[in-house]
Amino acid sequence: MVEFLEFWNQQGVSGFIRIFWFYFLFEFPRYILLDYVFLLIFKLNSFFNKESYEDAREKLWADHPLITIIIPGKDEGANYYRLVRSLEEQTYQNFQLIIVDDGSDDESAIIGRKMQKEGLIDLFLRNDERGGKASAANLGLRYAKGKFAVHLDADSSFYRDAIEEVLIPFYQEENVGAVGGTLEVRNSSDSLATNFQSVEYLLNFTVGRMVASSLRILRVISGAFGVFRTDVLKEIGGWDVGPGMDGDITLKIRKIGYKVEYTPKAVCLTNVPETFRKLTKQRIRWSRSLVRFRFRKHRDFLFPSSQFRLIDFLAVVDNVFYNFVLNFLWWIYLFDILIHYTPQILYVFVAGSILYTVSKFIEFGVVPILSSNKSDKVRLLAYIPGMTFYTGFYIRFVRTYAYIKELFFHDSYKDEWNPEKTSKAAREVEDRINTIFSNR
Amino acid sequence: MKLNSLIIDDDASFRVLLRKMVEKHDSLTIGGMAENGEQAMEMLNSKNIDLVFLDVQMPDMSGFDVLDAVKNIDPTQVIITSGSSAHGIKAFDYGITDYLVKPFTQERFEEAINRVLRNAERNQYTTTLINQILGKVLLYIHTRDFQDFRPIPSRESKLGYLYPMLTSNLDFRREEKALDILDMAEQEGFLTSTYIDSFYTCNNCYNSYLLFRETCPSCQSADVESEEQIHHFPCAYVGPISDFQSSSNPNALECPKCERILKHIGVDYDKPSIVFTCNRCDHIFQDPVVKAKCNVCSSDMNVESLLKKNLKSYQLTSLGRDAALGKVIIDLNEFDDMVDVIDKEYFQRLLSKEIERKKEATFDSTIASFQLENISEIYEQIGNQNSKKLVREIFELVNSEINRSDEVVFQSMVTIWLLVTEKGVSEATPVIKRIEQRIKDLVDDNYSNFSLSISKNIKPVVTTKTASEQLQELNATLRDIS
Repeated sequence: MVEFLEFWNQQGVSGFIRIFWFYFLFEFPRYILLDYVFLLIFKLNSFFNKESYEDAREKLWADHPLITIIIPGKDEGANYYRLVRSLEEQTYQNFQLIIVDDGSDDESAIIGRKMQKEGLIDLFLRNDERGGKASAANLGLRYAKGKFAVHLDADSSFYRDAIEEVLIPFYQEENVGAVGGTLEVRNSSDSLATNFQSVEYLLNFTVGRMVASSLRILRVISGAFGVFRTDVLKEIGGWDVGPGMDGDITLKIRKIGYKVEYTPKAVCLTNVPETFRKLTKQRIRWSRSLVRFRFRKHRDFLFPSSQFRLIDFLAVVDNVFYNFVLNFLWWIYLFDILIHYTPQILYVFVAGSILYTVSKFIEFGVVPILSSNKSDKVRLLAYIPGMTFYTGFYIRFVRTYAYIKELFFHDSYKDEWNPEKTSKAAREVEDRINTIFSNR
Repeated sequence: MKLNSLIIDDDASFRVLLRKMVEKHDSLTIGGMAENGEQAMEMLNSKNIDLVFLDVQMPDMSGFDVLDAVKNIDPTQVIITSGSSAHGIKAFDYGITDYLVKPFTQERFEEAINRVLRNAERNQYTTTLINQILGKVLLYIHTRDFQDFRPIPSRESKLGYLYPMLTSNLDFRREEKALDILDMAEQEGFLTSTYIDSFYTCNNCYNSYLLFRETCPSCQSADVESEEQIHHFPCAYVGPISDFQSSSNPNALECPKCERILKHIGVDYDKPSIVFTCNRCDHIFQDPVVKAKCNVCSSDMNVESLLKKNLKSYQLTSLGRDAALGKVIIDLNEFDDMVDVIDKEYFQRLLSKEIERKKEATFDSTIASFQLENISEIYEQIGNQNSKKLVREIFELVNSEINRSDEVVFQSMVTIWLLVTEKGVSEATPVIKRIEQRIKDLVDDNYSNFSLSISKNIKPVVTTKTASEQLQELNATLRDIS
């Protein structure tokens, strides 16, 4: 203990910064400084724009457009009743509900047909041949009649005003093509993994997307809860083959010149994987799609072209830098520490844990300020120390593994998430994009 | 068919008058005349009489004494003739349908005869004729030495098949009974059968010429179109095949999203489903309701509720051979024609009797009617045969709820009449309400997604009006749904 203090005393402030350069150079500015600056901007903004927000709400109700709720999925029949009940409670009711069953093997079709007969579902479509989530969503889109299309997951549920709130940004500004809602974890207290994910979602959504949205660099609208202008969706031909179709479609909407917004006021609850094993699988899938869509399909964002816009460029750079480059840089940092501080490694580790825990507490401080439901967030404070290990090590390991596998082995094209036929076809398309770029 | 008539009357001039009326009538012949009870009993026991004109007051005995003495007489074959209406109620007790008060008009006479005729016809079809026809069929199979009595496909016959000798003996209206007759003959052990095929008939008229088509589940219109959906793998576009057809190249399929030409099903695209559009109401759906329309009576039925009939070939058993040769008597059971359940006249007679009783003693009685307002929706779906079963079930249910002195009868397939004797309206109402609930429960439990609506009317029995007037009033407040 004494030795520990002596060591740090000896290092001084400059030594401390030297040892945790990674934190002070990259993480502190992005996750603490930027968050609080933008929280301030966001709060001021919404304070001064209170009228514009209320105006937008009035405009929405005056327009009262028919919207279409599209719910694609496979083997989700068990969730239909709960989902419909959740939607019946919504303050905004002028919607057409389309559920698309993507070749389920269970009783989904029987349940869906029955509910259609009972008038609980407006249109139940089933593809006998499984085609992947994107194709199911596109089938729903083909028969959508609403002005806006809401894309939901069957296992989500919603705050009563979620649909109303998520529509308001369309009336706040011109040229909004899509709006994403906030995702929170419903099964938060189920296990350690879900508790960690709760914290992660809160930081990511309530804070991260708020910042990204203020900066206009929001790059993903979650598939679990996103709203699109139907005409815009149809213009870009709907969703492309996943996985990662959420991020992909957001980019495409940006590409043709529409704004993409995020609202913390529209809250959707979703179930997250309860075990680390399942979580790992899910994150590998998510991480792969970054490689696939940034570096393969949408690499034009990284190069100056006729469609180039600085803000899109920044959106991608932020994403690529913080999730991809830093992920590898961190290994170099780890190496640096291991080599230069081999005997004191334990001191560094302990101090690092403390540093990151304090940092996370500060970062998490934003959550209750922004969140509508403050009391149940307090419980999660107990999990903040553990977050150091969760995001600092676990998530990094998973990501690194996924990136390497995808870069060298094109793993995502073998993903069971899609039927083989669509993966194969999608890969051929993306290979062609690659060829075009390498020939330039 | 001619009815062999017996006239029993002690008044000679009336006998002559009645004889002339009988002789003039196309459907009647004179089988005999009796001037007293004794003669009457002798003739009734010796002759084959179809219709009896029975006088009540005769010197040696009354007409009712004759009925008591001759056991095997069917009351529906008897018409009471009397100088006064005083014996009407007693006649009802014997189950006698008609009562002619002397002197009567030609119209009144015709009316009475027609009723007997209808009754006789019905009886003939249900028993005598059927037994005769079966006898012929068995003999036919035996003499031609058919190892296998097979149906012959025939466009002209109602079922699409005819059984030689059998179908031709039934008029078109009743051709479907051929299957029932053969079934009953098999149950009686005259025949054994081998399955050949199955087919469906109209629930309403049993015709087998049905026109099948897909209809819109929302508006029932048959004006629907279906289109295959195409899923283009590379870009995940999904839409109806027409999205992929371009005017520039009519033979090629071109993706509207990525503009590529589709090459090979299963490789770069597939057809995962079919979507229907209704041209009438624009409804979009994947599960059309397949309906069958009867070519004869135009009933439009869901195919799930069509009546399935089994087509069989038949082989004569040794018992059947004996029956064919007349060594065994053929006596098939009657068909269920609901005569005991749906009987308007019976209820009216009953009510008249109650009114007469009420004139003599002081007590309150109540009549009620239930109208099963929307039950015809179910009848349409389940068909004639099952509708009858349902009506019988309701009938038995109500019967189990009421006292033995009370009566229930179906006026029609949708209206039930109830007589609660010796209870005033306020006393009878709880009973009636309970019955209403029980009927609703029975129907609702058996048919999911259906809620039976019942309207009812409760009235006291009064002595100032006739039975038919009171029944008219009872029904007047009900909606006209027939």
